[in-house]
Amino acid sequence: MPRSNDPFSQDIDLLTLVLYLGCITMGWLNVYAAVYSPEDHTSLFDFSTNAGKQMMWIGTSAILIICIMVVNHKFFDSFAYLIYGFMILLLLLVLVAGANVKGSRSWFKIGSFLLQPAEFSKLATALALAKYIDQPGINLSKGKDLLYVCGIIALPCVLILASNETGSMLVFASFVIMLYREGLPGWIPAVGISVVVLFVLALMFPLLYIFIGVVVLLGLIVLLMPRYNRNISNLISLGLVGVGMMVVVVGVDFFVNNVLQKHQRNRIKVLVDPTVDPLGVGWNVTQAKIAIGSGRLHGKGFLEGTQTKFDFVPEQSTDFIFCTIGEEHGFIGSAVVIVLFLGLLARIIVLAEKQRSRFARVYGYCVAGVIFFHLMVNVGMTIGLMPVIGIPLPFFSYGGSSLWSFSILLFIFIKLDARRNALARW
Amino acid sequence: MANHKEQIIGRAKHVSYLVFALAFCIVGRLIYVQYFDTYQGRSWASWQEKDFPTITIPAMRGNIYAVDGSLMATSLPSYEVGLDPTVAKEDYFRSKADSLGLLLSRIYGDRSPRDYTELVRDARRKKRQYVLLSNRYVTFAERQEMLKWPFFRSSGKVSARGGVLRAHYERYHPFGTMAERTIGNLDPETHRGQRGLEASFQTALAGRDAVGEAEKLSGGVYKPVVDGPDMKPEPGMDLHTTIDVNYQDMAESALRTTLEKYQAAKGCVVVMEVNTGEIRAMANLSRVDGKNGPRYIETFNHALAGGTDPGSTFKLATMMAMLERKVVSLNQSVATGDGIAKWGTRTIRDAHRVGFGTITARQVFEKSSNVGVHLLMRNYFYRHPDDFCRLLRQFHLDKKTGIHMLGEAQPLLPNPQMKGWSGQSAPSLALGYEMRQTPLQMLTLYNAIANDGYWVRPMLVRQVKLADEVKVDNKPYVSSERICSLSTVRQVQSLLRGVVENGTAKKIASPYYAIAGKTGTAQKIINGKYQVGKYSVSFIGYFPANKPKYSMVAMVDSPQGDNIDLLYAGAVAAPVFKEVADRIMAYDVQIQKPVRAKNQVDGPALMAGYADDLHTIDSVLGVKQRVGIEGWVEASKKGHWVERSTRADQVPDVRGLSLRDALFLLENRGLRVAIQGRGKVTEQSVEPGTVIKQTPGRQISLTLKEPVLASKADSTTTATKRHST
Repeated sequence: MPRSNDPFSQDIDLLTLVLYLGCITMGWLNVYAAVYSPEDHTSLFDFSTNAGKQMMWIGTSAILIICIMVVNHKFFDSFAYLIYGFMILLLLLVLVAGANVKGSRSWFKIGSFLLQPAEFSKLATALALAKYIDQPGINLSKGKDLLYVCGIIALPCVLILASNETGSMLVFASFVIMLYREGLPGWIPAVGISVVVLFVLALMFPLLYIFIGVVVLLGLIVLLMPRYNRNISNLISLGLVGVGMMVVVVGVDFFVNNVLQKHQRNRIKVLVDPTVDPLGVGWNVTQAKIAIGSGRLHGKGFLEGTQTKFDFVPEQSTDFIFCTIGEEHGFIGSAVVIVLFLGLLARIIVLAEKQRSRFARVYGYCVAGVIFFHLMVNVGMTIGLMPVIGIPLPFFSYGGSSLWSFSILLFIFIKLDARRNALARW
Repeated sequence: MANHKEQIIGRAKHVSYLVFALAFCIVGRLIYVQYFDTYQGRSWASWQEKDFPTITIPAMRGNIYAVDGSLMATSLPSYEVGLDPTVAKEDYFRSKADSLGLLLSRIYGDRSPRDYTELVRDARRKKRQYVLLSNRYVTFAERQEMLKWPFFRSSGKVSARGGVLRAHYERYHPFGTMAERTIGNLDPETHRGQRGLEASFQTALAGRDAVGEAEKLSGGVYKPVVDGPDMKPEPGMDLHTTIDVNYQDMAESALRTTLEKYQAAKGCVVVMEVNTGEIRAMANLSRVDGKNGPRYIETFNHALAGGTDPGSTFKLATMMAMLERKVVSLNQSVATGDGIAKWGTRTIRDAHRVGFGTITARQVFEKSSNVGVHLLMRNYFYRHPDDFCRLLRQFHLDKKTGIHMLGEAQPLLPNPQMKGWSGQSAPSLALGYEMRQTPLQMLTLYNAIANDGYWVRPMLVRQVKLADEVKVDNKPYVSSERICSLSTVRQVQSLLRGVVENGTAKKIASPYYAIAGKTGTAQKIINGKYQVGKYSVSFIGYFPANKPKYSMVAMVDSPQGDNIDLLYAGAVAAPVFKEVADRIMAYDVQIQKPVRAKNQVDGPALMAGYADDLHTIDSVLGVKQRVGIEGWVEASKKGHWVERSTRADQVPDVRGLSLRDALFLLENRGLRVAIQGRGKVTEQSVEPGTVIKQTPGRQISLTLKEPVLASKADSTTTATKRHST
């Protein structure tokens, strides 16, 4: 009987476990604070409130974690494609049989509980990617391999987009981090980042200014270029880059004004100017900023936040949970949360680099990428650094689907890592 | 190969750098937002939610229902009508101002069309952005009409607008002032519940207003986000109370009559169901002296928040305590003598001035002899006041009842550990003085006796519902143990019946059913002294005594009259109890024993009617259903129902119908009806089957007569006899 199959004596990485428990506990207390109403003192364990339900989700997550620890590590490798396929099926099914919640048809209604398959599709995709890249001879600078990888990512994306969950779809962009690590040519993320930068610039400034900026930039490059490099072919490629940038800018303009829906457009524009949509997204963002701004260094104290307590911040126990932390625990509390996440991410990356199987490493990077993306976007939107995209803060936001999926996501990696340790000792 | 590996390690580093760099961005941004960033020139921390112009879409407040589903309180919208005269274009304004004035004058009727036209013209000249057109709010129906007016048409272009209709919800009580204090009211400023159930269930009733940032439009009008998901108010929940509007009406009218008769200061009546504690009526009236003499209105919930020395009604507790400790037997004789006893510096007197002489302990209670109780108490409890107080606490007299209603007064029950306890305290306590008990709290004691010793918490709200979904379902609370032994319960039950049969409340004994209860005449404390001639009188009891269904308290404070001997509880409060009890006994079908079929009259008293109504009557009375009939029917000679044809274009046969049904049928056909007499329709001036168009003047006159049934007198006496058993 190999030791690694005993869930209680495996080489579980203790630091990761402690960081996970820290996040879960803080998250739960903050959900309680967010739903806490001074008028009726509800118990922390009252199952009719979000805090009580969150406790239940935590309990059920523990069961799921034990299940993961019990199954054989080969399970995830062997069944990666099957899990992925099953998840695709669920995503298809939800389009047909899902319940309509807040305008997106992406939830299964089981009794009184809502389950969102999109949350789980991230980990299924991560497993499938790990399985695919694990094959010998896969090279991400090769067009064919890259195409397959893109296909694996794109399929769930399309289905999630169809169910009107743009936020969850964007999370799949985080797999770029893993792909870069695994040898994706550097110019691809570079182009991607440039496009995003241009995108934001195009929203902030009129088209003409950007055109002038691009011309000036190119001119400077030509001037600063060593004379021997200033040949025709280089100049032409530089010109092409310039044209490409302008096309992107025009495209962005067209995209923003004609393709995006009004509420999506406003979410981006409000970053630059909160008065764009003062009644809709601007309201969320200004109220969120007031909450965080009023926290200052120490915060107002647990359950003392007025902004969050009186429901001025919408969705405060889910997407805007960070406001509660900012208001009640101030800069110190917020910084602790960020440090907690940084610790977790760093630990995952370090562990991933130690993995002997490519499968485990790829999966580890996927986990780090997904958590990182959620952290950036979720915290970023509450402080006006990112557009308002409705995705939860891992381990903190209220919600069963999100808590389950992140717990499973993380603990599959912990399981794979435990196996590595067992191998090492053996 | 080494190069490749280096490259890979480099990439891992890149990723780490990226993660840390963005984390630093976030921390930096956090500091920036908290300390440096400004919004409209002010730091974020200095902003408060209230700094933003917000608009509130009020949630619809829940309704309050009586036990039978009658609506007792609801919210109706009314609209403030205003105009921004600067919105419309000049030519539109000029051409429509006159017609607006005309329409306004017509709907309000207080000013001339010219006045109104001038009002808006003047406002436009002065560039005022909002003019209130009238102080009176219009109804929903009027608003619908106004939406067709110039300036108010929602379909109109902006250049043709300016009308503003702002909704306000007003609380409306379909039963007027009935149970006013129990239902409660709203604070006129905040629109939150101020008193009664409205205040006690404020959170449930109010729902949740939608609050959002508003956009300031011209005219001082704020426009909310229309499509924002957060701008939908959550409607309030409905309260389903235990109040029965009929009982409430009986209680209120009986109380009012008595208060008026005795020019009393205030009074209350509470009717409670014995087994469940469900309060069927809670009437509170206080005298308000106005120009046209005193009026009695509900200004204070005496039953819940009032309370003074209960006086003799408290002797029930004293008696229970003595029986519980077996220091008295009901047949032992007590020498009350001439009705005066000395205890220290104090003199205890009986109300009966010449004294009762030597009587039994049972009679002491029934005649409410103060001296007798004092003498009995002297045997044991005066030496053991702790034990006495322990028992009173066991009877639940030291705690609030815990009814779900704000404002319940805390009872005051002294005990030997308290400051101010003296040798005089125990005798006072035994007679119901030097304490405070609300009428409701005293009622629960009597109710517990009616319920064979099990204490029941009074209850006013059975369910809280959101539409049809039950959110709160209150179950009756009944104590798991008796408050005293069953033998004590049985003995005091017989004492309470004795009070009505032989004692101070003899006056209200009924031949039809038995009442059990106790009178209480408490002297009032004014300026710290007990006053002779100023009483708070009450009667608390339950009925029917052999199988108690209801318990009730009737309290009248400071009755006035020439002869103070006629102002005792047995004369003032007990009759209120009796009147309400009589009417409830007559009303509550379930209490009555079924009358055997052979006593029924031959033919149905109702000789014709609508089949659905008849089915209802049948099912309520438990009579076998007359199946297979629909529409309008009449009784055949054999006693079953046959269908009666009713064609819309013909005059129907309304003979045998009640007036209500006849009017319904005839007026629906456009006929004008003249009536003579009362009872059932016996004759109609136009023959049935006549085509309505040919009826001269479309008029019809009906003659009505009370139906006389041959066996009526006979059956009444039989039924009466049955009741009295």
